[in-house]
Amino acid sequence: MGESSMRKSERKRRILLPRTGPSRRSFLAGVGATLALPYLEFFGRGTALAQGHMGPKRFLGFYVPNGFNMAQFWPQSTGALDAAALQGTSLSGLSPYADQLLLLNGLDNHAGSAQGDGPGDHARGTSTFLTCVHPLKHASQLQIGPSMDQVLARHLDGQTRYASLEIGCEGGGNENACDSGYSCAYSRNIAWRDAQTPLPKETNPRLLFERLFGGFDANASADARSRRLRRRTSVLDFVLGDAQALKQRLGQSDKHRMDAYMTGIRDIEQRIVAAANEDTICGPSFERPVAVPTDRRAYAQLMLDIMVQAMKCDLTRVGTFMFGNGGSNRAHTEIGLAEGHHELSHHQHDEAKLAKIAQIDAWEVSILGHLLESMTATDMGGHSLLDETTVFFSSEVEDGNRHYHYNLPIILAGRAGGLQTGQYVDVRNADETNNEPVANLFMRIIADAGAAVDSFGDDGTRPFSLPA
Amino acid sequence: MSRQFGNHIRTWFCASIYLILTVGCDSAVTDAQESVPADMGASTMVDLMPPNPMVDAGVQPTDWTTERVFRALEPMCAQCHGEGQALPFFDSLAAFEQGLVGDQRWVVMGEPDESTLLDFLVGQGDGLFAQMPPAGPTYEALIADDPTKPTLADLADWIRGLESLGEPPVRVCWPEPNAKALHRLNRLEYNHAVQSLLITESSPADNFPSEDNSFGLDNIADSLTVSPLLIEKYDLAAASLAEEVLPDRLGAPTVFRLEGEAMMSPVGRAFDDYFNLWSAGLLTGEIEIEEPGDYTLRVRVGGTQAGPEPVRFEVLVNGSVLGPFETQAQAPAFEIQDIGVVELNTVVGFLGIRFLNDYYCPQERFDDGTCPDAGDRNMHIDYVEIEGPVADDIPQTPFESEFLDECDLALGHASTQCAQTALGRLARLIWRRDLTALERDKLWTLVNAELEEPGGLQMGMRQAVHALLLSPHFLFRVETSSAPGERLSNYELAARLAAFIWRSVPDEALLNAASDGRLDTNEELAIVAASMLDDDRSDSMIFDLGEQWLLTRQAALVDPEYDLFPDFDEDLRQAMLEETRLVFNEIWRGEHSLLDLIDADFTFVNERLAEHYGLDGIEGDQFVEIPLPQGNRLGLLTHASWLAATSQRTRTSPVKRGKWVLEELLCSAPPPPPPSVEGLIEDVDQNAPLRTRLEQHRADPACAACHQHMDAVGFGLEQFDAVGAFRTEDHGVTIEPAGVLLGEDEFGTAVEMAQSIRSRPELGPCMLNKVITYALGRGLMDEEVCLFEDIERQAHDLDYRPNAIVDAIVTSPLFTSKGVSRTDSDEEGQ
Repeated sequence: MGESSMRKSERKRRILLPRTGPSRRSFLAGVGATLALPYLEFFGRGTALAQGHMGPKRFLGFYVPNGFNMAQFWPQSTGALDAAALQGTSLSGLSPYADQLLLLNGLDNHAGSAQGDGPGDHARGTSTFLTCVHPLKHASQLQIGPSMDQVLARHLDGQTRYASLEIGCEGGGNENACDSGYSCAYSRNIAWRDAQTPLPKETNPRLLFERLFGGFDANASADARSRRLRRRTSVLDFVLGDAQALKQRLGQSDKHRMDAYMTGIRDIEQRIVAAANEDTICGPSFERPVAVPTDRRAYAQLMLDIMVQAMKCDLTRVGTFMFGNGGSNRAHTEIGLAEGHHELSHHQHDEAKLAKIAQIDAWEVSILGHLLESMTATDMGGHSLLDETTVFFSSEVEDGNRHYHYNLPIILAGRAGGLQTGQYVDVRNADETNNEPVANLFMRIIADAGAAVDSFGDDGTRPFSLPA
Repeated sequence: MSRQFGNHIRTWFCASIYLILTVGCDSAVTDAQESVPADMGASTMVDLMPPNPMVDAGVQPTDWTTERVFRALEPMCAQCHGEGQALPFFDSLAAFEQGLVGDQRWVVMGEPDESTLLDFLVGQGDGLFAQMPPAGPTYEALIADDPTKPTLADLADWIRGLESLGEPPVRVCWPEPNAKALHRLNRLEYNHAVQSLLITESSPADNFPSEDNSFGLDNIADSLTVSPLLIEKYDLAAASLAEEVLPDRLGAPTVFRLEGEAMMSPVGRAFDDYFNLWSAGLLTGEIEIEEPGDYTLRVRVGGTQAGPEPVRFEVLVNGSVLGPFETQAQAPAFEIQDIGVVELNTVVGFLGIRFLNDYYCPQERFDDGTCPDAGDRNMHIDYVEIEGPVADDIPQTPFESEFLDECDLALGHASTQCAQTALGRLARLIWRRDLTALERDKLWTLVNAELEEPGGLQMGMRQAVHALLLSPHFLFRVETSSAPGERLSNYELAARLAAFIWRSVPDEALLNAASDGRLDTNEELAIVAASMLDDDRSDSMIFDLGEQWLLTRQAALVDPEYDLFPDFDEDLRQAMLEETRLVFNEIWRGEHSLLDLIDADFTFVNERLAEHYGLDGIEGDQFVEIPLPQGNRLGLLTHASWLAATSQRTRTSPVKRGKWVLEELLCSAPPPPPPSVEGLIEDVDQNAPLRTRLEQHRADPACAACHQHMDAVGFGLEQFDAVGAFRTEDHGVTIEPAGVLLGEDEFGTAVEMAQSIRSRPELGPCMLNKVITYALGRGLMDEEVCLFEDIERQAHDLDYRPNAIVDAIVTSPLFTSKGVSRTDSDEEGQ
């Protein structure tokens, strides 16, 4: 067999049997040849730069479960932020990026509080993390709002191959009950396309990588590409027709489910049409991962690295990352902790437990540090990826012991928005209650990306501004 | 809004059989408490009550109307009797009037002495929660300093003054089941479906996003939502599967065509785009191929037909003769003839066509009778074509043997009829119903579009399989044949049966049973279901239900801290899981009641597990059945798998264990703790035995009401550590397992506790409800209680034998009827 047919058959095997790991060589056959190509040609970035813009605005939501040990979280005093101010706190791992950070103390997510629904703060806090809508408490039915990342994604729809990417390090299925009478969907998803449609996350780095970078064949002839495009679209059109006809015969809520199906099919269609028209292919700067790292930090960093590659290639502009699911009880044995995280977070003011929580906090923050490092190192043509992104880092509660949804600890990073970075700001009211809703901050991020909305969630009424 | 069944089993018991008030925990913890440190012990309930506007206005209520009583009691009671609770008396004034005031079990109008409500307020009620609000100071003490609350005397006066509210409230009972969301196949069902339909061993759904569980199950319709990521994975899986079962045999398919007019022959003549062999002779040509191998050979030929027989010819390939063949095509028409697969050993090949039966009969010879038919038979050759190489080292897939054995797709056009028939059969299987003519046509269009290409029929069939698998008619169990409330179509019933009993889709025999009318009646349906349960494929259901319900799925993932449990290893884990699987399987397959799970007098162990259990005399890896009780063990709750799954990494969790037993077996779980009080109480010596630490629950009235029952069960199992090993001490203190189950049944050991649980009347209905939830893929609503009771009666009469349960479920309207949507916004489509 000749060289070319060998490559072809290996490529084919990869598509055929997604569970068998193809050799490194087969991946290189697909994208390796183009690894070194510059990114500037993509989606008119060159034009944007020529006009003096910073490039498109991006958003990345970063969720960690179970809150923090607040006594060691913030710097001693508010105001300008430098590496020294972060020393001795859980945030010290972010020192190199102090000028890119905005630490915000004192926004509330009221939607996460009980409001008569009793326990279930982890499910509530997680589901409201980016939605700011109080969820329907129900074991199986879902009712909440679209999340802010999806508002952005809709605004940018069609401009990138993926409207948004959802990734994480904990799937699901292993917990019998999730949280106090709430459907598991509430504690496993932070991205919600609409009130009933959670967007599950990809948790397998190999599958994520292949999804983003493995699908096309740089060597295929134009003829083969157009034949493939015709075949793909004819199947998609067929099933769309099916769905359309079926939808007419369904009740209201099932119609909604069929709409979600059709949206998914149209997304694929858009993507393959776009891919067929691309002249250049942007590739990742590292190899296809072959396994899930057992070390959770390495795992998280790998997932985030792939996200950074996706943004570098402008495959998406909106992403969310869940380090764990809401109320996760994983024992982080890699940093020497035997107890589950959730179990520990109910520290009852026990000093030993608080120290362990601070240890987890710093560890999680160091993963954020890794993300900021790779975003800073990613040159987008005279500026870094971080320069055109807003990273939002927080948890579903403030202090895991008390399940507060007030004074949420928020770390913003990046200069995509108009909020001045390089400072620690305390915006709490004097009595620390009825603070400004985090929904307002989301309105600000949305507005800064050019998609201003009149309201957001249950309580967002105006875009947040820093106090004068 | 209708409530989910959930805790309702217990309520239902209260209402219909055992008059015990069970659900309490009436601590008046308000949201305000979230903002103060969790110092539950020091706060009294009065402290936590919001200021009453009437006090500010200086109003002294003297005339206690029902509404005023409701408003006054609501802050103290709604925490546990509010919306979504089992006895939601304080959800609304209407709920109070109908559920409490209108129910003679609590209030007998005009007769305060007969009204048990007052007994509860002084701590002399019946059942588990004798006092309301429970466990702390009595109602009288709580309101002593609050003039805005009715005294006991006030309440007695109020009851005395009550007149009948008219007819007693009618229990709402829907005759038809509630609607179910459009049910998507979950990952297990998807894998089983494609494995059975396409005869493959692939499990593509392993790469799909995991389900969001509800009721501890992963097949609940409401929660099987649809996301773009999922659709993307469906598309990928469908494409991979189609390619796998209809593999590419063309390698790098190349077509080499020899145009007739370019070929050579001693006779005949080349025209613009064909060669005319006008007398018997051999037309030859030479082709060059890139690599030797097997190639598909076809010709496009025709001729001027004349005489008694059609044009006949042979094909020569490198000297070998194929044929003879014949063509009926009458010039100027041609037809494509697939000759077959030929082996080409050299890169240069010689191809030839020999015209065999020249015929010429001019009119004058016909007229004088020397030839039978006037005319001139010539052969026209448009082209000879080879395509390949055919990768014939790829054997026929099982799918191809099953569906396409009669068809050689490589022949292209010649096999379309055959392929169409095969596709019809396949489509019916994948969509679990007959296709309409329009749907068949649309599907065939996908195949047709490929036919002109090399290998087109194979590719076309692959396109069709891809489309069938990506269609909503495969991915969802569509139920649109019947009106709400009416019996589902037989095909839809077959799909429900297969989903429940096989965790898959119907096979051809089941679909045929449906189309032959063998599911028309409940009697027939029951027969089919019974035979499905006898079929090995029901192992999936037993395994899947057991794995989720009995927590073996969690046990497979537990990760006990090595320093504390050095004996735990993978062999032990596998042995633990196997024990529970074998016992659950035996419960289903043997002559048992489902409830025997709790006190089965047998179990299965191998040497490793027997060692772990401290039992002698078992050797080897094979599992053997042993009688129980022994080794202090009896039933599921003493299985190491379950004990480990309900523990933390470093210690047992009596609360987790107790909660699971009350919730999953007795449907008597108290409401979850109010916000901010989860976790162990502080200021307790962390080195004290767990029991000592948890005793705090009893000292704290806010916790005691609910925890006394959970903890009692959990402590009953404390002699089993976090990996299920037996022990008698914890932190050097002797473990005392004795306790009282639900405040009624005293037990001294875990074995006795299991026996007590087995004899509780709640056990049967509660376990049954779980199986129903699993079978339907949805939780029941309160208003479906009558439908539930019908199943319950049948199951109860047959001692909750699994086959009787399946029979009762599949013949219930809950299973056989299309649900009725009760919300205004969910009217049926046009």
